[in-house]
Amino acid sequence: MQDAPLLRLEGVTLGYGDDPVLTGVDLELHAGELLALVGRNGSGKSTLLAGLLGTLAPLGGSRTGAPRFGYSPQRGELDPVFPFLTEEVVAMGLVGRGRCPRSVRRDRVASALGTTGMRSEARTPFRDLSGGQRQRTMIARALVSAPDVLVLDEPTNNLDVQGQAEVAAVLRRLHGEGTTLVLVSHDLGLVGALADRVGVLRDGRLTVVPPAALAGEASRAELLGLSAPL
Amino acid sequence: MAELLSTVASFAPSYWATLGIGALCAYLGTFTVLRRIVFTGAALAQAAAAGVAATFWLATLSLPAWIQSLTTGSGVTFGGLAAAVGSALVLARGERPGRLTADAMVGVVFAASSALSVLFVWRSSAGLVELKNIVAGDVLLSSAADLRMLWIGVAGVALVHARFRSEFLLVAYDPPFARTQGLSVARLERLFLGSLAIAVAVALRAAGLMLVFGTLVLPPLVGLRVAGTLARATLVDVAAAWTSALGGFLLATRLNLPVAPTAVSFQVFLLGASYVLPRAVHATSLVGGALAPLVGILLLTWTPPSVGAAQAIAEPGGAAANPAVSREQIRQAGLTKRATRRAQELADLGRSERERRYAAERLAKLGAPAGLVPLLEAMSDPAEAVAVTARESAVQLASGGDPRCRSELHAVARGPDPELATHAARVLVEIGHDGSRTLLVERLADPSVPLLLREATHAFLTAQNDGDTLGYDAFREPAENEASLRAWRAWAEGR
Repeated sequence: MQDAPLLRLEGVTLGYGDDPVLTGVDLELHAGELLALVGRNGSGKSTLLAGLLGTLAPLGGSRTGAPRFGYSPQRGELDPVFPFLTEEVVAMGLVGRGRCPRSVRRDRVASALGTTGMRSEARTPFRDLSGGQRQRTMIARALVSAPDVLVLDEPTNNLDVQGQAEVAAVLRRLHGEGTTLVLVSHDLGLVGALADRVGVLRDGRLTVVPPAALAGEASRAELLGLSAPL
Repeated sequence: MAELLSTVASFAPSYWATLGIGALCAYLGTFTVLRRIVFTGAALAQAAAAGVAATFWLATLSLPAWIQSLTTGSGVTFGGLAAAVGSALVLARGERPGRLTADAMVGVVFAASSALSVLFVWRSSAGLVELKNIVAGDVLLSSAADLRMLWIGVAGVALVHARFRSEFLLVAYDPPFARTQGLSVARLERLFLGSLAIAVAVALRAAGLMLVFGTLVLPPLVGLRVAGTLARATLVDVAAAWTSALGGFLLATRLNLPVAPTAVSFQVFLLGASYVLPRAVHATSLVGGALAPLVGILLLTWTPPSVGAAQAIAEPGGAAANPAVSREQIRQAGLTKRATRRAQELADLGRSERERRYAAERLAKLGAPAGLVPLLEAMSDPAEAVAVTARESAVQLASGGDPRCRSELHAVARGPDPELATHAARVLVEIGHDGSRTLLVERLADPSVPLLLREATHAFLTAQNDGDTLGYDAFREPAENEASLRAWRAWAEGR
């Protein structure tokens, strides 16, 4: 028998003001799984993420469970003007999570950096890192508070091949260690290789399918509502 | 050197205030520069200025006494605080569809505040003296109340930032992530802008728009240019602010320049140097910047007895040699020990024209009758700039300060010294005091008043009467002016 889900959405409607973006969302998130969310631009991925994270209240339906989330936003939203060191960026993941002695904070930051292979760059200015290194730092920041669920929004977006490989290796490692992950991505290759289940967003609805459903070009195109096969 | 030490020691409270403003504004400036909200800082400073000006204007209205009492002393700073914090709350609402953009809102607040501050000051009795202080500022002239408010503001803002610094940084750097961390971005935004508004408002009264805005922008740019981390950048920008404060302070007192523009020019110089000098030199400049305030502190704490203010007061003839104020008169009129002591210090500083002007302006800021007689005396200063400043300061003191100033002014206007009496009556006229016209007209009829003073009084009254002399001629015999004096008396009584 499967464990109780960390989070359950039942018949949830999500939107802004009185305008629903997603309706009838049914979703369970279980410990240790990697759930990928895919869909075209404007299909409601960010809205669903906000609903999962609890930063957007549902317009209808029920949301049960309150796991602690670690969130890594899309790269490019961060301002390079700020002269933060890599370890300072990671330490931001502890802000708002209760008081923490300095020594414990330092250990946690070092551990998170170690998990993502970034310990040697702890004192490097964040803006001087490569794209892949920045994304790994963002993942470390999301990890540092030891969350129940790690939510990653487009972690390989705009990365070169090397950066994509670095991030994929970190995700594979975290998944192997039993971390619960929600991954939003346009990279269907990455999703197919790592995900346990895939949530496809189309026409304001969420359909959860096994990753194998994305195996063929035609089925991918049909699932995502594309006008031409990938 | 001895004179330099004496000057710095005499203005010690103002120097400490300059360091406080430097640390506070430079620290907050790092946030405003990084967040690209530099002009929000400018708009809040302008809003605070409008609030201060509005308080001066309110003081001229016929309002109940309890409201009038709120328009003097610390009430002026509270006026600035209310306007700045109110504006901060408006700006913190942020952008929403169908509303003005955040940038446009900053523009609206800035434009409206600029216009209102000039209009309010224009209609207030303090007039151009205060307008000058609001815009250019002169920390040397800050009153004890201004400095007290400044330190309370510094302490309050420091406490808020000690508690919420990490939260403010996260909200500025990555708002979506901050939300997922459970932080209320909107509330923290209001708190940050509120703290910025408080800092700007309390610093404005002591330092003026120019120095406050300059310190919000220039030292942080130096810090961010020189240092590679935020912690170091903050240290460097505070050091740069202190260096420019000390440099500006010393240059201003030595070269007879206003402090604020001199300090801001120093900041511009440091910013230029941070771009021109190679990075290797930056470490040296960093150390130099950190040491600069220590040099100032040493200057303040080590004052040889031979040049100390106390010694200067005790010197025979020290006060008598000063044409602006008389130590003995201050002592006679003095109501509080502290006010008297400060007035004496200022009196004994009155060696140069610039210092006498400082003395005159500062006496007004004391807000007590102790400063009135010296100011009336200074209205006869041989230097016109000092005389004008003294008159403006006396008007300011009489209209905004202790209500006992007016009765003191009235007593002097009826007193035995014709010169002081004429000056007192002039001040009474300028602040719109009932009966002051009659006093002045009586001076025209009094043959014991020196001829030149009668002539000056007549010129002043003529200006008040739209240029009509009413036939009076100070060089004629008194009997020949009988008809004219009757006309003047009728004018004074409003007939």
